[in-house]
Amino acid sequence: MPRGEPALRVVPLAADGSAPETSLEGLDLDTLFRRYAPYVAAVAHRLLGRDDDVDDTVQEVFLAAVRGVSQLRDPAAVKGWLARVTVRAARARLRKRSLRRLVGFDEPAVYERVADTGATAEERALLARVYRVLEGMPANQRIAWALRNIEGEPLESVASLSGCSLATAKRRILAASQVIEEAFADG
Amino acid sequence: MADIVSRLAELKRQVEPSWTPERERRVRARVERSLLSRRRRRGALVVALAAVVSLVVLLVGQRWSSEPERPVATTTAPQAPQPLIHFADGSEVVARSANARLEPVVSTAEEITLRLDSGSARFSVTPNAQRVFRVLAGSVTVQVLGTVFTVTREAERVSVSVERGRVRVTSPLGDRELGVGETGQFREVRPVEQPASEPEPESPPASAAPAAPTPRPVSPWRALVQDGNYAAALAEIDREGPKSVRDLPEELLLAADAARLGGRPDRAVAFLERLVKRFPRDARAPLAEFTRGRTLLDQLGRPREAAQAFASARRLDSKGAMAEDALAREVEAWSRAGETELARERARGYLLRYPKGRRAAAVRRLGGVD
Repeated sequence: MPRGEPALRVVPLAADGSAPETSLEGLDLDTLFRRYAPYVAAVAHRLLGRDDDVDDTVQEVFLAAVRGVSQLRDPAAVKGWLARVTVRAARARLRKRSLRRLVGFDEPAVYERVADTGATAEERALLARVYRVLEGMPANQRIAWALRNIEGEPLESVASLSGCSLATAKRRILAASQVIEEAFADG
Repeated sequence: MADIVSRLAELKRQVEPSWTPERERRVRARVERSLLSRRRRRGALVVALAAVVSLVVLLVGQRWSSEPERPVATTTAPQAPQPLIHFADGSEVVARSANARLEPVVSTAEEITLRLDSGSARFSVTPNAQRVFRVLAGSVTVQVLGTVFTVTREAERVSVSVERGRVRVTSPLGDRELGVGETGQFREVRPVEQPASEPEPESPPASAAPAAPTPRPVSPWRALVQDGNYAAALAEIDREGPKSVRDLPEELLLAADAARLGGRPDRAVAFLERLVKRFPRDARAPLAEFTRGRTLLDQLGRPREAAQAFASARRLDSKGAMAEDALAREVEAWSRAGETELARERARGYLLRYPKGRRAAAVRRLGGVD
């Protein structure tokens, strides 16, 4: 190595810490899983609010990825596509959960655990309260609100990830916001 | 509300799962297991679909064909293009002219050699690198691995046309390879006849293909057989006396052809018995036994002896291409002999060994197995 040339060079990262794909060549399940499983797990965790649902969701997403990733043409679209699949899987899981709750099979979740160990007691209490309110919402509203306010996605991205129009996304977020507002207004 | 939203945006980093390498490995293993299970399910589905398709094909085939397929050559070409020969591996030969006449010379797991005595036939050969497939047409030999081609034998020439794959044609005038869409014309080189008293050379001339021992007529009866004049050939054998047919497998098979096709199946049986007795280890012995069984069953109406001949063919060629057909015909012979128990026992043996065999339906019916 010539003198003065650094042994390591800085590679620009995406916001979540993973570099975007530049090629679909050699993008097998192993590579995909290694690169994106933490991202998928994090999105699933924030959408679902329960750690015990995360593993199943990650599994579903990567089983779908085995079939679908080969149909992608743009390597930079891999991460967005996985996010969309994660949203779909989360929605199905939330609907299933609602159904179970309706027939009395769903056990009440302990949302105090939704925050990691770095959070303060106050932060934990706040997050738990938010997720408890979300629990009573329709899946589509909950997802749109969580994508916008917890994931921090722009409105266009919320619409794209939810598979709906921008207007529908706005409407869902607004409806969810009103429920949250009412819940927190009560004290 | 704005306060809550701004605080949540700050808290996003706190809402993370404890995604450890151990957990990642565990979920990754679950994905692998699910994929494996999905592949298995898909495989089972494919097998089930294939079974249904086979059943439909079998039922349709039975609907249109009440006669069981004949495994070895018939002597006259049917009007419709039905196989002259159908081998267990799917290879088959179909007549292309009314005078097509084909005889098996060798039929083992390693080698199939057929002799086109006259007419035109289309050969569809299933690829099998472990087995040599040859067609002898006079002085011309066509050797293939897996292909579809037609051989036409005319007065002074042999024509070979290739539809698929590649063949090597060997003739005394040289070798030539033919590919898809090519047709080669090869002039027949007839061997000079020698007096019957002189010994026939055991090896072919240097210019001929070393692996293709083309039968060489050295006596009028052999020439008559090759010309399709069987009754005259048999008369010539009788005129020449007992020594006219020498103790050579190819000569005994030829004499059996003359007798079988010349209206004396009983004498064909005798020639074939002689072949097996003298040359039990010869590659042509199973074929001789099979042909004896067919002659006894189809021409002489002696099913009990036929069953024993088929059983013998099976023993001599237990792993060869003929074993399945021999066992199926043994079931038929025992059934026609009224030996229902033996027929059932052999049928069970067939179904156990070839559960998807192409004769399974006929065997089940003839053996009375549900």
